[in-house]
Amino acid sequence: MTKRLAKSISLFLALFMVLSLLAGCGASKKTEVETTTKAEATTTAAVTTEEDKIKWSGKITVAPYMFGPLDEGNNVIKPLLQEGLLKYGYDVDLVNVYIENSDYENLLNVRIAANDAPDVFEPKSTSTMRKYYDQGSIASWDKAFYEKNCPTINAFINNGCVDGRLKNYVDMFWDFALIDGKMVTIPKVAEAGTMLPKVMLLRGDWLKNLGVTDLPYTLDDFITLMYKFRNDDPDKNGKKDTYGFSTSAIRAIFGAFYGYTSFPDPKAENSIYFYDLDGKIVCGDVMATNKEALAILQKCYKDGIIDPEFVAQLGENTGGYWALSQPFINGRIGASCHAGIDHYRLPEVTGVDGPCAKEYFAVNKNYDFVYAPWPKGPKGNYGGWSLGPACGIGENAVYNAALNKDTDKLAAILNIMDIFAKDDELALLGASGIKGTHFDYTGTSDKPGIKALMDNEKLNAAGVAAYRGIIGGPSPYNDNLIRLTYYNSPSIANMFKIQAQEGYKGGYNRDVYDTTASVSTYKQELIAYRDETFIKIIKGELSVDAYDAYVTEYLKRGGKILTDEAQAWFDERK
Amino acid sequence: MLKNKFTIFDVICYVFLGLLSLTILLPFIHLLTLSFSPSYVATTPGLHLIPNPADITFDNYAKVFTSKFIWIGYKNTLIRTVFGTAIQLLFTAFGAYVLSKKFFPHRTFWTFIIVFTMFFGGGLIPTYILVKQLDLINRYAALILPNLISAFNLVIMRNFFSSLPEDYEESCMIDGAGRFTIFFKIIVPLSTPIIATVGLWLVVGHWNAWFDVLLYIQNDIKFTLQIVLRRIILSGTQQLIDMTTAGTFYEETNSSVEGLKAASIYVATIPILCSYPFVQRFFVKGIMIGSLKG
Repeated sequence: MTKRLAKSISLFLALFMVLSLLAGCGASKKTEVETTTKAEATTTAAVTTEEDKIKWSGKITVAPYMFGPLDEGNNVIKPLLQEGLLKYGYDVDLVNVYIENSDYENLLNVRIAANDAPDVFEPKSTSTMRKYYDQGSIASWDKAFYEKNCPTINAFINNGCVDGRLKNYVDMFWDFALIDGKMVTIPKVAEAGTMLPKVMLLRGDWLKNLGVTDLPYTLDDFITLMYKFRNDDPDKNGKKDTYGFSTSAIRAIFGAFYGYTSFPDPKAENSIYFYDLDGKIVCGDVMATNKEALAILQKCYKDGIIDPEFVAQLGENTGGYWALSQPFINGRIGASCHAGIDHYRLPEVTGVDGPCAKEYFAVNKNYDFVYAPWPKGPKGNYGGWSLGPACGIGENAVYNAALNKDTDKLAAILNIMDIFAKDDELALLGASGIKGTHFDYTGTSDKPGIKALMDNEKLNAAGVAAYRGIIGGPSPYNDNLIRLTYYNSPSIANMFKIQAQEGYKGGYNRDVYDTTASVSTYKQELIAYRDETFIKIIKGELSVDAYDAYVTEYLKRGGKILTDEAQAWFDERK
Repeated sequence: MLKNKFTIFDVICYVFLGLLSLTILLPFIHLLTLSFSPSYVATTPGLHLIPNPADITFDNYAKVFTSKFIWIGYKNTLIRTVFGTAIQLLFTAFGAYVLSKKFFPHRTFWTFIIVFTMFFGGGLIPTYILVKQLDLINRYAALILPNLISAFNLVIMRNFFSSLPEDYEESCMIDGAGRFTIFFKIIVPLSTPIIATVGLWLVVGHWNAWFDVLLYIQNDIKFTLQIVLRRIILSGTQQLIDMTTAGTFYEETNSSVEGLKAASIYVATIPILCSYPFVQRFFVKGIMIGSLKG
């Protein structure tokens, strides 16, 4: 190759590299123009469709919670759903966008930043929803727009959902759906207080070995039993290797004194709770009654009643499924309230093992556990977890901000959601699939339930619940569907039955259930400070009197700001 | 003639290396035992080294291998690894060879531009936008092209190529060979150590990569092994999560989450472990190659 030719080629390559640096600049404008053109075309199509009996046609992309990706080749649900919607005048192409649930928020954020977010997605928490709203990533609309396009859902929610059971929570639901007076989502409605209700459990074999026949109803009785679990060799192995309780039951001690802090809860619920004490909002982390609970816990720790590993264990879970309490299952501690009632449901009652019950019986072949009441404190308070309104969990749907400019499409999505709320067959198809293939009926004719015929991953692969964002989320708006999948379910009935017993419905309602503006700024630091101080007091490294100094410091570090905001929020709604 | 004396220093070395080996071997043995253990053994705390013959179960491996996607995952991972490594090696070698030539115009400038990218990158979102606009979403190319040439590997290879005597090339050119002929018939055979070393790094990188699959691939028929194994582990926990769906279906097996994790680790790691001895000699030889004069 001559020198001249080599120089020309290298010059050409250099120029090519420089041009490639600039190549990305021009594309975005083209994309915006295309998007605008598409939106205009859609709007134009919508305007003329009434004559064709097609009210709207287009593609709707949905990214719901999925156990596994959709198998498009075996997606039997999509064509049936689309056929059903066509009868209502909606010629839609439903597209599932699979976002791996374990990393949903990160992957979604990449898509949002790249202007590639689906039309319908989930915010995963109320604070994230607010963040999306502040960033302009989600659509918002007036309540009047929603009432016009979702009359069925509107009536359903305002009437208190199924049988009016949730009438007392209607205002709460709307609080979650509105930001700055605008709707950003349709409220997720769930029976607050029954969403994964926790239960106090005791090891049945230990009670039997110790000859204990009466369950402890008071705090004093509970502590006495815990001392027996520690000192009286309840597993009869000749070793002093058992403890009374660990992380989860610590909250029950706080609850017995109306100390409704979220300590120690390492799960996503770990937050700062606010309560109304005679019109004054108080932060759960600095309630005066916490001091009495800490005094008891300090004594228990000193006497060896509390498992020393309570600090290291994530709410007693040392790995695997979050609801498993390995120390409880393996016979290290005798009391636990880490998991929910449904996690420990029994097959003879509900027809299927709860996941924790299954694990418990795999390890303890001949022994069982006992559901116990929450220990009541001196003033009759009890509880070990925050009931909270279940509508704040974040599995409700929010909508791409692009729909602010394409109101016809937004109206179509809301209309379609309304269709699922009133069409029982279509709702059941979307949520549970085809009878005989994906589910079957159970129960009695007056109280029918449904039972899945395959695991959730296979259901999702077949398209079942793959468009959940528009069907209505895990808590749908279809009366019949909720009865079939929830109220008529043997496991839910079992849950209600257990909770109906005296002292078993142990939870407390937060009085401020929304995320105020400064929570994200101060929350992490305050929770870390709270946890560190409480652990030191329990372990005896600080005296119980150090709690007073902690309260002052907590408020100084941002606790007062959050309390004032919570008070303002509460006063607005009085 | 020097006699081999067994000194105290040797004893200390052997003891230290023995302990170090144990710290590496024990977790492997523990995982192996867990992978053959049922739920009630796997959930008990402590080190599990010697399994009780009565407790051995193959349910964990059965669950991993009967997952229909495990073989799809293997296939996709092999495609990605083989093609990805081959293409990346080819382009990296091309780039490194060019940069190793002193007569390449503005060589220092281009080397600086390339090394600059080692420290400053566009980040995840611009890369995603680029991949999307190139219409690579849901394609194998999205797993190979964005990281086609690693600046680090390029520099390592360039240093090696620079160390090769130029006499070979000059004598080939006298005989009439062109640049491509010289590259493939002279340079590549002489560069087996560095090619094997970089190739091994690329193979391991492709085999273990999962986040890009999570980001760019939507169809499960294109999921790679790591994603499939991740889902097997997560599905062992996640399918129990949806408490609002009544009557969730449970399979009756003796597998446990910890056992599943252990079995998955072995399924993913064994191919790499088996192939490593064959390339080890290149790796040992090539590990210091990048330190040669440039």
